[in-house]
Amino acid sequence: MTAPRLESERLILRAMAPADFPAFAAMSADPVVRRYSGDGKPRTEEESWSSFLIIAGHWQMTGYGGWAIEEKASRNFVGELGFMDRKRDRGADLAGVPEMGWGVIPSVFGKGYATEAVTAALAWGRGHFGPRRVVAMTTEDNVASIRVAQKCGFKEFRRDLSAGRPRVFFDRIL
Amino acid sequence: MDIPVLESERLILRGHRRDDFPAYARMWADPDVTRFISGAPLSEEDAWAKFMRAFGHWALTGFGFWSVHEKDSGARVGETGFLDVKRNMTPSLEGLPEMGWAFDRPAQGKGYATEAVRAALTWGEDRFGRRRFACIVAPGNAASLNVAAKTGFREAARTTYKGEPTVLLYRDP
Repeated sequence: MTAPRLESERLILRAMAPADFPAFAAMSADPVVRRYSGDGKPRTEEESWSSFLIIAGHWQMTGYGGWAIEEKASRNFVGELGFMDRKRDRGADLAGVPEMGWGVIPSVFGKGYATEAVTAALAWGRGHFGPRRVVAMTTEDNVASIRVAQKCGFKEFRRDLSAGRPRVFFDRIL
Repeated sequence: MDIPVLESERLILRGHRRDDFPAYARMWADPDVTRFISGAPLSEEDAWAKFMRAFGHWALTGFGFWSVHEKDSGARVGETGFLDVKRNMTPSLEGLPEMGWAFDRPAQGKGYATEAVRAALTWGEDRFGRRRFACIVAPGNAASLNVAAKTGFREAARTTYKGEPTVLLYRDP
């Protein structure tokens, strides 16, 4: 099973294809993009390739996962988003709760693409999961992403320091 | 994609399935298995990422790892296959099909790894053509170096990968 193709006004959400890897790796190596994610460090090509393969495998193993975000006008890869179960240690109350994540490349910052893409993915998620709880998390200085979460109906329910940086957790019911 | 099923005298090699994950995670949490591979036992989170990666590898490249099972019992005994890791390593493995394998402790000493690697190599020679294959093994991993030797790999270089000493081996047709 691979990611179903979704469409919004200005974007196409589709499965990552091997040809997307250079753009995906460039995004993952961008310090501006990586600043708020994971350990905050740009990823090497080897690390990006691992993430890229995991995205494909996630759909196969769970029936849900991540999409490439393509800009309709340019046909360019402009970001990624999706639902994940990473079996991350986030506390017992979040075990098995799908996590949403999103990111766009700096050249399209400020256009509302993340909000548009997350809205489309949430509609798919509602059909796939039913009215289930989903969570999202980011660092508390990631103002742009927090705004996306709020615009897409997520509410803050926790702050913690367990990742070594202050993180904010959001959730909503699909 | 449909992952091919391979058969040898005592073993079946097939794609990983969702319900293989408990056995997979158990193997990768065993310090005896990881001592020479990743260096440290994998958490459930890391094993899950590796498990999904193994599956995604087939989907994106058309080759990958098989889950290896005893024909008689159906028990998972390990894994082997071909991989592209894009390793940051000198000499570069770019363009060379790389092989790898890992076997569970109860399955060790039965010749299963050699048997499974041979079956995978037969498939690989068909998929990639008769050409050079590579593998990397930690210098202290005598069991794995033995499997490599028995399946036709010869030491080509001593190098380091992620700061650890590594033997690079080639298998030429």
